[in-house]
Amino acid sequence: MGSRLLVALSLSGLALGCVDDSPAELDPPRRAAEARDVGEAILPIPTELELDRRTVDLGRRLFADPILSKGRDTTCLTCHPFANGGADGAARSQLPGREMLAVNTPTVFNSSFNYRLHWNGRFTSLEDQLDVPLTSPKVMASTYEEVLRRLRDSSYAADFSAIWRDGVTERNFRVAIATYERSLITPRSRFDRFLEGDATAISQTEREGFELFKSYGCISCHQGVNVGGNLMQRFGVLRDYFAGRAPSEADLGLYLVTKREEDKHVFRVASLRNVARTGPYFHDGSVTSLSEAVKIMAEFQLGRRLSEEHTKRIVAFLETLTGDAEGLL
Amino acid sequence: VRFGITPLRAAWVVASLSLVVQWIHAMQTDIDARAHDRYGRDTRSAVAADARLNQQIMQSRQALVTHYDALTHTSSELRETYARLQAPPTFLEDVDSSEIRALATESVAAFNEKSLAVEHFKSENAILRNSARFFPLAAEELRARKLAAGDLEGAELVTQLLLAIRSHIDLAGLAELERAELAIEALEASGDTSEDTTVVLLHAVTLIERTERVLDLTRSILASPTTSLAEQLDARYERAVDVTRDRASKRRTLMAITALAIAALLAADVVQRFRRDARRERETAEKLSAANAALLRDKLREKELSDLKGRFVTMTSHEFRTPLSVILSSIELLEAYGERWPPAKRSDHYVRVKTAVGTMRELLDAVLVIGRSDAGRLECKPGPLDIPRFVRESVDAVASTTMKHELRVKMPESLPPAQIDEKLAVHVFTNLLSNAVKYSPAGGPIDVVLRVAGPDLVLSVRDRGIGISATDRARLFESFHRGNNVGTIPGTGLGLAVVKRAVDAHGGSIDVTSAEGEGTTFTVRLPVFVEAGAQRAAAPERADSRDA
Repeated sequence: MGSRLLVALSLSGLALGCVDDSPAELDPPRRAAEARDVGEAILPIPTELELDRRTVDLGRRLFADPILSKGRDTTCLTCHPFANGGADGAARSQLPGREMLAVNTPTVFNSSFNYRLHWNGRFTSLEDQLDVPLTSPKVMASTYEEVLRRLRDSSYAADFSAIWRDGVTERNFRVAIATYERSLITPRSRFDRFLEGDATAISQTEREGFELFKSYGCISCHQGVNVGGNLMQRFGVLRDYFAGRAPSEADLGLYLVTKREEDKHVFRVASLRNVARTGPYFHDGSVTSLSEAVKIMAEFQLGRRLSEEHTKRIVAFLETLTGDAEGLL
Repeated sequence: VRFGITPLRAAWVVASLSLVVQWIHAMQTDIDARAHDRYGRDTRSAVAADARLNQQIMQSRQALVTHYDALTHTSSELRETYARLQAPPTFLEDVDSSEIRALATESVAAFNEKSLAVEHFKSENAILRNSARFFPLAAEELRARKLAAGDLEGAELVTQLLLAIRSHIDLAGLAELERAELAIEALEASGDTSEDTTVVLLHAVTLIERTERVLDLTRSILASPTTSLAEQLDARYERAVDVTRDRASKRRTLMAITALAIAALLAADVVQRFRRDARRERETAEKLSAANAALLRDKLREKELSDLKGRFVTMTSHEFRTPLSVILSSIELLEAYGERWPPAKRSDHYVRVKTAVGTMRELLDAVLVIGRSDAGRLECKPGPLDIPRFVRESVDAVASTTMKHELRVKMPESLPPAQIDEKLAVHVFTNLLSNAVKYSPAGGPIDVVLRVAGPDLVLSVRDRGIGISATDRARLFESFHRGNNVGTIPGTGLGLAVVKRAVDAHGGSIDVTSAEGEGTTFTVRLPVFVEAGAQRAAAPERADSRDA
């Protein structure tokens, strides 16, 4: 019997050598479908996503679940309510009983089109970015350990296992939330429809605003599918924005990450998608009016002073960038 | 089935184990197609993406592409690719793996530097592009205003600045730089502090600075070692895979050989087992048939014995019938006619009865002797015997039954004292002598010779009768066996059987020499001239059986 078993073993061994034993790829694609180049410096937001539906659904539930916060009192939606453009509308968010945040809360919409996350560009992926809201004492004040423990003790455990063989893990948790965030895009804005060839999608004034946006040079930085969000730039290129005021730590921007002198006041160029709905503006949320923000940008970044008339038109153009968030609500 | 350890089987187990070990080793070090695909794709895509990044930088610098999405994607893609390239597949040789890892580390460091330059390039280029677009417009406007205001000198300064900046943008040489800087200084020196002059000067300065900065960054990006490192990594990996593939193919061959060896050994083992089984079967069959033969032999012998017994009974019965018939008929005749018959006739019938009874007694004696002998109970009780007298009486008894024979006795003058069992001696002498008479029907001399040879008394009886054929001599002493030449000579076939048994019982021997038609000589040797003890020692078996 012993010798016969050995044969079986050695033969099955030969057979096993040919078996594919690597686990099935369950990871959702990391990016939304690539934007289409239509000959302008601004690209329309794609209308289709290639994401795993189950992962998106799981992320959606996690996004709205206070289980993530230490006191079970805060969800992602607390600071990123959809009805308000994907951000809370405060200059700087402050949660009950917690310190005020150092910078303005950016919108969660279209965040996957930003090449880096956070004002100072600290993170390169949505998965990594989760560290701040989840663990910052100013936000959810929790830990991955705690959240994973709670998830494992809940009905989420089964949902995770249905998607990933290893169930609830930190990585899978990050992927679930990030995948959901990738689904939060606002396609079909009037401007995108104009880009796609619908000349009537925007008015004459708005179109003039787009031309001004280009000729003044705003487009130099605010370009691409997210009308920004794909490069870092100094706040105060041609004139010193921070002159005459005591800069806060947050004003230092990229310097906080790199500690290089040249990176002081360098921020990720903000996306102008849905900009009309995502005030107040700038990293410190110090400006509430969009016209005011446009003027400040023109003066300090482009060395120009905008007329009221031009400002109005540019703002009119910016309003056409408000996309369709209906599917997300 | 019980498995013993044979060298064949041991070799087979060792080969199997070695195959398992080889297989486990192969599992760890064979090319994992999936990992190879991934890593190979990454090394190639690093080369391609690096070239693409360079191209996109050039396009952005020349404002052929006005957004950074593609550049950003390429950069992110490269960052992810380099991160994956840090971990080469585990199936590579250690030396290859560490070299590749070193190359990947070098590549990622170079890429990080390049990536930083790309980031700066994007920022600087955005600013440069903005000023490049706006400066000519603003400068033209300023010139127009100065012309309109009649400030020809101021207009000329602006024109000079425009030209100087343009040539600086186009050529970017030191001379152009100097000229542009001079033009800026000249305009600044004109004392015009109006907003539009300030803006024109701001953009002119920006243009000069950023042009140079962007040029530096572009050079540093294009000159980054990432390109050659990516190519080196790709080539180095391909080479490492070739080495692994080579090794894997050698191992596959070895494994195939081992597998074949196992198969061969297995087959040999099976064959050997079959052979052994067959041999065992054959041996068993042989043993069985031997046993069968023995059984058959026993059976045959049993049958022979049974036949013999049957024959014995039949013959005995027959031999008894004849004298019984004689007795019966004589008694019936005497009963019916006895009183009327003369005494002579009555006496004749009494004699017949007596003779028949004598024959029956002889027969019974013989049968008893043979029976006792067969049962091992024929006793030998030697005692002193006067041999000459005993011989004479025996010869006389026989001689009285015949007229045709001349019995000649020859024996020594004196004989040493002998110890003989008289009953056995009677059987021997009587039978031999009466046979000599009976089987020489034509008569003639019968020589009875007695002599002493050492401890033995040797008796020979010679007749000139019908003789015994060689065939019959072989079965001479069997019960009821009679020579085929006896013809009508009556006999039971028991006489010599009795003689033989009696001689045997006495520890002696009997020989016969004979020629058919010429006569027969029986020679009996009986050890009778020994002490009683010595005699017993000479025939211990018999002595034992007697004691039993």
